[in-house]
Amino acid sequence: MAETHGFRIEARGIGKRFSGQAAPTLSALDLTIGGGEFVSLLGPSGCGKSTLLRLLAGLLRPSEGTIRWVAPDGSSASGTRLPDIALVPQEPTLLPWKTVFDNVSLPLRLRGTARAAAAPRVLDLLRALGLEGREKSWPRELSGGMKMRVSIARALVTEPDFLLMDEPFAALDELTRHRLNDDLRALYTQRRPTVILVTHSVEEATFLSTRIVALSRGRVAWDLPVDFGPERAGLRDHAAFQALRGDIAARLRADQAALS
Amino acid sequence: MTDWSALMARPPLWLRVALPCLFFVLVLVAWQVIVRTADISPLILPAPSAVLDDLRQHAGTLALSTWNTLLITLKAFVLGTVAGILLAIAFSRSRLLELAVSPLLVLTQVTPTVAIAPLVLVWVGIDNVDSAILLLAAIIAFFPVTSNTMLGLRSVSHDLHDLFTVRRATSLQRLFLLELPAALPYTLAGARMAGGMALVGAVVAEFVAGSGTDAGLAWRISEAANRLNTPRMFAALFLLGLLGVAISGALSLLQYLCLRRWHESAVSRDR
Ligand SMILES: Nc1ncnc2c1ncn2[C@@H]1O[C@H](COP(=O)(O)OP(=O)(O)O)[C@@H](O)[C@H]1O
Ligand SMILES: [Mg+2]
Repeated sequence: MAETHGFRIEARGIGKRFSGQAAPTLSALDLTIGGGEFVSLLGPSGCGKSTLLRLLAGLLRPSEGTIRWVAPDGSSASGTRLPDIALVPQEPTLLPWKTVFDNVSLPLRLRGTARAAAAPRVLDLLRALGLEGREKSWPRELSGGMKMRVSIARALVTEPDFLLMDEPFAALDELTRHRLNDDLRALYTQRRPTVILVTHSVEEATFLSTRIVALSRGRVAWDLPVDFGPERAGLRDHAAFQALRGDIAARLRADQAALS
Repeated sequence: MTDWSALMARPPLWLRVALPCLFFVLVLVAWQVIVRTADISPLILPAPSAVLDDLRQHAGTLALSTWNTLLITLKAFVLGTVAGILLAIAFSRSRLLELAVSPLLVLTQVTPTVAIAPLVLVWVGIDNVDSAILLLAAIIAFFPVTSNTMLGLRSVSHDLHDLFTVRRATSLQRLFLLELPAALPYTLAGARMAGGMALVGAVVAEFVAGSGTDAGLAWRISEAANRLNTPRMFAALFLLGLLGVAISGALSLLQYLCLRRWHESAVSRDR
């Protein structure tokens, strides 16, 4: 990437074997991500995408290897100098006893920001994600798509350095998914966080990413840049987009074939 | 008859109150008629009118005793609930503590209150009967709060815990912003049970320990029993029942008020 601002995360020789597993989920995996990239993780179900994401988020410990945060000056980051990470799980897990506003402002409140001080940022985000006027709603009153928007707003509210998303749009209908893809793309180009997105949709990965990483047999099968530039409105109809999308789908099929 | 079955399927509040009241009145009328026509001795079964007479004549004493029982029940309820929640928090922080102590707590529950009452009385002091009653009632009341709150604290979804972990929440933030609110429906269900059990505890303890300076309803009942004053026993029993219904109603209301906006159990849905 041209810009190398911000932190990067370096995974070296990562292995992960859950107790009772015959073969490890991940083994000898190397991956460096950072500097405002938008990386999509692809691969068949059960190949360890969620496991990798949870390792990167610090929710799991690797059985082997190291995961290291590297500061912009090249030094290892630790303690209070760790980057700000946000996670969007597959299920939009909102706190049912808090309103939309309080759910979205939660990460700010955890840092001690006062409710009033958080308000402008929260309301801005709700507007950007099409949730204007919904701030006093309760989670149970929202549709699946709206809950996912709230979950994304909650992740973005601290302007995180790293945004980790695990199949966030898998459960949504195609129209809603396209709209949220567009919104996510817009938010990404404005703020340029580093995004790691696990997805099953080749189209989504191609449309959103600057880089696609495919997992197979517990390690990186291939790693491909996507050079469509920042302006991507209407990109889905272009021949080049369709071609790359077809190419990626073919690569994934080849990975599958190699497995069996 | 579709109107009627619709009414029965979702009975409005007035109906829920009116029906049991009506039934109770019917029972009283039948009771009155049977006692009068069969000429049953008031020592065995006094007519409702006789009980009402006694209630009226001794309204002052009985009201005071009701008040005393209510007061000690409320104190025991608050003591038991607070202790119950604190204990559940302690257990959820330390697995060692839970494994070591919680089996012993079951012991306090399976041992009948009547059996430990004399011991507590000796410890707290024979001249301190009120405290002994309070303590006994609280010992009975805390358990449902502890076990329900523990269940609630454990039921928080892993995804929400992950969210707090990734956001580097402190353990106090996790407790107050995630675990306790998530456990609230469970805690409130436990508190409802604790309300009833605090009343049972207060009555049983007063039977065993006798009365301190302020006689409660249990004391009135045993006093009336000693004098073969059956109408008075019924009057005190009636007040005790009323007290139980009031406590249970108040706690249901509290539960509803706390959960109505967000919890499935309290939210009514259009069908
Ligand atoms: N907490 C866990 N305990 C045991 N096994 C797990 C755990 N999480 C994931 N696995 C196993 O690791 C493998 C990869 O899972 P996962 O990372 O969820 O795959 P993906 O997200 O690519 O579909 C699966 O075989 C799964 O059974
Ligand atoms: Mg997964």
